[in-house]
Amino acid sequence: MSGELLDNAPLELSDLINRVLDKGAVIAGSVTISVGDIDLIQLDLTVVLTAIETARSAERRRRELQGDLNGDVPVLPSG
Amino acid sequence: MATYLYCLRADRAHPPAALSGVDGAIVHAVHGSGLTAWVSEVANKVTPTVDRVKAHDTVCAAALAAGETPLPVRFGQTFPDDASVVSELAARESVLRPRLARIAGCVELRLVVPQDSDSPSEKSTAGTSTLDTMSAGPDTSRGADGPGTAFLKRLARRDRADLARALGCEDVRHAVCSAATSLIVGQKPCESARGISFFPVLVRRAEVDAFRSAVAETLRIKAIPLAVLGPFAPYSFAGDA
Repeated sequence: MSGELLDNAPLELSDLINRVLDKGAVIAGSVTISVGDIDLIQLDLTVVLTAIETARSAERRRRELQGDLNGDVPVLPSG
Repeated sequence: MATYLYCLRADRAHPPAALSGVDGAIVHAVHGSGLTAWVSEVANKVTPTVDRVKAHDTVCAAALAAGETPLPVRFGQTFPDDASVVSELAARESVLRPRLARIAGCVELRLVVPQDSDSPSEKSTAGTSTLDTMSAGPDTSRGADGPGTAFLKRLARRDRADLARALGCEDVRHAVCSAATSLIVGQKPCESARGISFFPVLVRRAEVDAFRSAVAETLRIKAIPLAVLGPFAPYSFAGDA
C-alpha cells in the first residue's frame, strides 16, 4: 500500500470505540467504562482515572477508619 | 429513567425528526444558558456496547450535520432528568462556551496507522486476530521455555511492536503536519489503543478536501500507509468541562 489511502473499513470500529469511549467532553456525574459487565475504570469529574477496585478499597479503608474514630475515640465535650 | 447526554451546541438546532440514539430512544433538545443539549431517555445505567457506542456517534454525527459544530460528550454520561442537564449547563457555561468557540467551524479527522504496516513480525501474522496471534501464532521462543514463559515473551514482543508502531505514527504525524500546516487548526500527539495508532487533527470544515489532498500527496511521496477517517464531531478537542 504505497502512496494511497488505505481501505478504511477494518479500522473504523476500533477508531469509533477509541473516539467515543475515550474522548469527548466530560460534563458532570461520572462515567464508568466497562466491558462485559466488569467495571474497568471510573472517570470522575476531575478526570482522574481510578481503578474501581482501588477506589473501592480506599472507600472501605476510609469507612473503617471513620468507624474506628466514631467507635473508639472518645468524644470530647465541646467548650 | 435518566437523561443521556450526547452533545452540546451554541445554536438552537433541533435533532432531525425521529433521530434515535442509545437503545432506540428518540433524541430531543433541551436549552439552558443559551446552550443546547441533545439528549434522550435511557435506563439509569448505560454500559457500553458496540451498538450503543455506534448510536452515540450517530447522534453526534447528526448534530454535526445540523448546523454549527457541536461539542461531543463522552459516552455514558447520564443525569437524573432534563432539568439536571439544564442546571449543569448553567453551572458550566463559562467553561463550555470557550470550548465551543475553539471548535467552531471545525471538524476532527483521525489519521490511523494500521496494525500490520510496521513490523515484520506482525506482517507475518496478518490475517489472524489478536487472540489468534497470542494463542496460536508463530512462536519462535518455544524450545527450552515452558508455555508460560513463551507466552510472556510473545507479550513482550507485542509490546515492542506497539512501541514501534507508536514511534512510526509520530514520524507520520510530523510528515503530515509539516505538509499541511496551514490547514491544521489543532492537533494532538499520537496515541495507541486497542490495536491501532492514530492522531487527531482539527480542520476547518471548508478545508477538509484540501487537507485530504495534501495528506494524499504526502503519502504518495513518502509511501506511507495511512487511513484518514472522518470528518467527525471534534471528540479529541472537546476537553473536559
